Amino acid sequence: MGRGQYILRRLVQMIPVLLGITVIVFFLIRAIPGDPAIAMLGERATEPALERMRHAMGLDKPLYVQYAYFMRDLAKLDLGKSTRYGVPVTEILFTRLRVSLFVVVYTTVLTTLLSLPLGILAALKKDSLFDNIVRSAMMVTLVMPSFWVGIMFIILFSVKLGIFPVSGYGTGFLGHLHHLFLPSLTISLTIAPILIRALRNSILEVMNQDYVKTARAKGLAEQSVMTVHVLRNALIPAVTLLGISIGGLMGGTVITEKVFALPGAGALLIDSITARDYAMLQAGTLVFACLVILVNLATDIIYSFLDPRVRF
Amino acid sequence: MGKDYLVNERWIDALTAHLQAGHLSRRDFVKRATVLGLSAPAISAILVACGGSSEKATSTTAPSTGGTSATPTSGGVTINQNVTPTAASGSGSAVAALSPTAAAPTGAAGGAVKFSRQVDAENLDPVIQDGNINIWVFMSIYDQLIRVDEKGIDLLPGLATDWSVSADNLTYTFNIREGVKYSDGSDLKMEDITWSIERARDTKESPWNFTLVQVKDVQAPDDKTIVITLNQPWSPFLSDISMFNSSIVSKAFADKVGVAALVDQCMGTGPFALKDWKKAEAMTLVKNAHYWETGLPLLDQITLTVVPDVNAQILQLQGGEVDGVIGQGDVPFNRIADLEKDPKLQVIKSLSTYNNFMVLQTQHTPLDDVDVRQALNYATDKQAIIKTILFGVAEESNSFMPNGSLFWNADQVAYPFDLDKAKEAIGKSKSPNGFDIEIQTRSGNDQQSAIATVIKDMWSKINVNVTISPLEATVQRQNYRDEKFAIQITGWTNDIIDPDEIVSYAILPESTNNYHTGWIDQHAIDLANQGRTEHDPDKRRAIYYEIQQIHRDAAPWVYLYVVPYVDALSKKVQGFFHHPMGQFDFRKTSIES
Amino acid sequence: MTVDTSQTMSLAGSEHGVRKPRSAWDRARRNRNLMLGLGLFALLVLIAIAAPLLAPFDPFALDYGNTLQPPSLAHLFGTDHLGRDIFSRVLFGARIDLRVGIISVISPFIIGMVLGSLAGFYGGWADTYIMRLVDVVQAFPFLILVIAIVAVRGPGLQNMYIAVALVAWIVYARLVRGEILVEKNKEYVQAARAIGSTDWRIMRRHLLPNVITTSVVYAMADIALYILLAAALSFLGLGAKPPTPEWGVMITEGRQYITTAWWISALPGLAIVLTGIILSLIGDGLADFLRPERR
Repeated sequence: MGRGQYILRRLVQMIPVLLGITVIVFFLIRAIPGDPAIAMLGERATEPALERMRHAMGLDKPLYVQYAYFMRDLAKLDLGKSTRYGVPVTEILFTRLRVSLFVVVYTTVLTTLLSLPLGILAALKKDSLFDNIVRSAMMVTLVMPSFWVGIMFIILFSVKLGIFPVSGYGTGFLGHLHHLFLPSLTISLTIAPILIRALRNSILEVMNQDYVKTARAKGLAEQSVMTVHVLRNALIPAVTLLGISIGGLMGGTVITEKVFALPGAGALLIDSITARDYAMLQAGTLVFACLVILVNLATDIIYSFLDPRVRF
Repeated sequence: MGKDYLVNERWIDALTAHLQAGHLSRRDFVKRATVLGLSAPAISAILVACGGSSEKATSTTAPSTGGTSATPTSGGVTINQNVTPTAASGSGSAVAALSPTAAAPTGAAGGAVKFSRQVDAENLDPVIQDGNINIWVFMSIYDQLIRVDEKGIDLLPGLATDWSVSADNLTYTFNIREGVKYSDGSDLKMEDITWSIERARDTKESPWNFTLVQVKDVQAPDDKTIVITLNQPWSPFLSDISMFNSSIVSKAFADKVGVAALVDQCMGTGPFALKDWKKAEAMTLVKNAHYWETGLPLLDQITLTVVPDVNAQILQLQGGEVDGVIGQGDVPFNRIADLEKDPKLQVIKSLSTYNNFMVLQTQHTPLDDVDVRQALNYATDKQAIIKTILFGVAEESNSFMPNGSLFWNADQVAYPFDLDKAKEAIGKSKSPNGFDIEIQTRSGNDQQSAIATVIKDMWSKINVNVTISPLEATVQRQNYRDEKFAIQITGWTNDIIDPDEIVSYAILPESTNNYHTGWIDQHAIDLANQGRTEHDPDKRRAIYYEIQQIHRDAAPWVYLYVVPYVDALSKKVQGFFHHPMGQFDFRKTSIES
Repeated sequence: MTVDTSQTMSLAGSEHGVRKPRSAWDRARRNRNLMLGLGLFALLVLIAIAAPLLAPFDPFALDYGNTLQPPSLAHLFGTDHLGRDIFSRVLFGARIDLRVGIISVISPFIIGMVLGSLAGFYGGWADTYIMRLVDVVQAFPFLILVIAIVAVRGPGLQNMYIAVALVAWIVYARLVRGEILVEKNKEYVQAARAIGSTDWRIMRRHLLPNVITTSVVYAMADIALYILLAAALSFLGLGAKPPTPEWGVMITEGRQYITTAWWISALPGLAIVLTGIILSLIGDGLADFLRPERR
């Protein structure tokens, strides 16, 4: 089996997982107490209005029938209409998803830019002042509540110094880069420590391995030793951790989106829970789940390029 | 008045008017003016100028035509305190055409503004929506036959230029303004009016059709007149027809897009039209080029953005990214002081009917005991709440009717904070040793959380042990409807100037079982029904005063306070007006460039 | 094929399945992080237990005349919007948050261990089903799943424990399964089987003590994480009920005063950070302590 076949197999395996997710989402959100019609119409709504809304949401049918309709629409790739906004779910979801994904990608870039140099240098200068400072700082940022960090950043950089805008998404690519810097940095600071530590540890571990010593003994230039042998192997666990973290960011950008008032998909899903917008929740969770699975797959593929031991 | 006063000038006029007509005592005037931010020297200047107004309400007898001696302001608007604006004489006299705007617009024309709110509107159909978040917006898009004046006291011509009532108070004839056009240029037709009002009355899903239930018939005998016949004499009728659900919508438009589309598509004769609506992001309104009031509106465009986070809103305002923060309850009171210090910003507090109170489920022991309820009222230190949680920006409430509203009893003594009386009341009750009780709050609502915490502390002094249960919004609402609660914190804003609206929610059990308290008093119900068919203003006042007393004595609520509307804006925004009925009046709003 | 990173990061110590006890205490003593972390943690626990004695004020006492006071001699950490002493509340908050962290971690730990062991040891159907379940739960956006479960049950810490238990076990399951897969083919296990030990015995005496180590290290980090999660849920309005002096609730309540009375949010935030650092020290120290010897 080659890599291509492996990928195909994983993609096929995605289907039962997604199915499992549809079941969980579907029944979980319907288990949330409170009449969704009231969530839509408010507490002063008249009974006929509520009846009409329940019928429109399909709630007056038995659960398995509702599930059947849901799956039937899904098979047609129809994600349904948002009961809250009255427009097809995709319209709102994908616009908001763009924002969240921008943050995720931006965060990945910032995290890599932060972690690579710091992790490598910390390993090379093991036990030096630099190493200790970096590790201590990372220990602190790892445990700072992200919404707290976000608020502090806003106060410092946006209000006091005025370098960055206080919130929002901005217009145009550069505008996005400007507006999303602080939110992405906030998230990076919670992931970078893990990566730096992992990178540092694995570089140290690899540097002590025999094959590195052999390479050095053979007279290879230090830089070549570093990149070809050390880094490539050391990156493996770091890449895996990065992949897991990115996967965790899907939907995990909620808090940051709320703090920085970003029109993202995470905030959308949380609000959909409150609004009992079943269609949006179902669609949104499925989309996120797909993304998570794809990110995991990508991580495994990259891992397979890095680790020669991996066989398909 | 110069720009050094941070208070909207029109509120000074309104208060002065109340004071002049004897609706407010001097003491109340001082209290309210201070809440609105008026400085002490200014207050005494006004008191001196108005000097000698008595405590009693002297209703000016001639209800029609402007220019009576009691008019303290310019513009020819008669201040008719506590008088049902028409049919007082019962002789079918016409109300003269009063100009709907007090003063000529002063700001510069043109320009666009951006205001933020934490929550987006959801449904712009005047008939089936429910919520200030929608009403406050679509009132700029639609007109009604009658408007409420800027002081929240009087009724003015809207799409109707004048009206008259038959001697038996059953037939109202409205002369309709000519030359009114919708924002797409089409003409206002009489069938739009008949259709809109009938739809408002007949739509079963509307939470508001109780206001039009007495409307028997709406006819258009010619293309300038509308005749409405009632089933029985109904004194709140003219107020009812001014309510937002009686907005006039273009029938042709509704036929074209379908009535169901009216939730997010609009065609009205109001000063603005809906241009664009990205749900949960931003709504854009543009000037109605065909608006019937010449010279208005001043602005070309208004964008209402959705910013769910209060800190983000304030920061955006301070940073100049938006021109105002105007959502209901958006501006946190603890920030008012430092926002006012910002030279680029202004904080406008507008008179409101926003009454806040706790509802007690009277079928839930021990709240079924009136002594217990009174004890809870006495044990609540409202001044402490106002000072600590609202930073002084509120007024204690003494009635189920909002302070300052028509037929509100300013002199009613409700429950000043008195621990001794509280202990005495609970001692008399069936639970003299105290009890455990649950207050359900909305999770995520900081203010409710703070109020509940303070109440818990206060009531512990009479051995009432409170558990605070934050509940998710829908669950809390559901519990409210199903009456599965002991105590919840809630509020009210008047949508019409007539007390009949709040009375039908709080006294007449049909709509909400009296705010889901389950408290029912037959005498109060009889009085309420009387009040609806009585047209004499003095008799009505007596009726509503008695109802307020009954409600006070039975204490199905814990009265808390009335809060003004607070909006924070850039100083560049001029002419911003937050109407006492709640909606924004953007007609004369302008922006300095 | 699943690329299981736990295989490359296995911490199981030796080939014989029984730890050499002689050097352990020495190693532990020389491990600065571990000692420091454990020491500080003990201090923290002591403070939490002694909170009623140490707190100068009743954490629930309101004082309308003294709201929003900055830190001073009278009120070390200042007062909040209702006049409560923040220092006292932070002290009492330690009891709540430490409990939150530890309780939150126990259920996922146990559930994950059980399911992971079953999957790793027995393989076959058990493995397939359990791992598919892991995939499904893992694909779900974590925070959204937790919030949905809390929404079903209602706001409050109890329900957070339930939500976390249902969602967070997967990490432990994977770790344990990975370790067991490596260990179960080793000699000592074969030997135990040869002498007729039951599966249960093998797991209990031989496998689990070795595979538990990674999970314990991970659990340390998780404690801090769950304290943060409780704070995040409070931020969204779903956390502890007022007037509980839970650190996350305090940060959230102070949010609107952040520009005028920063201490209300900042100081409980600092408490969370310090607790997290202490737990990280323990976690790091444990990881070093348990790492196989270097040549």
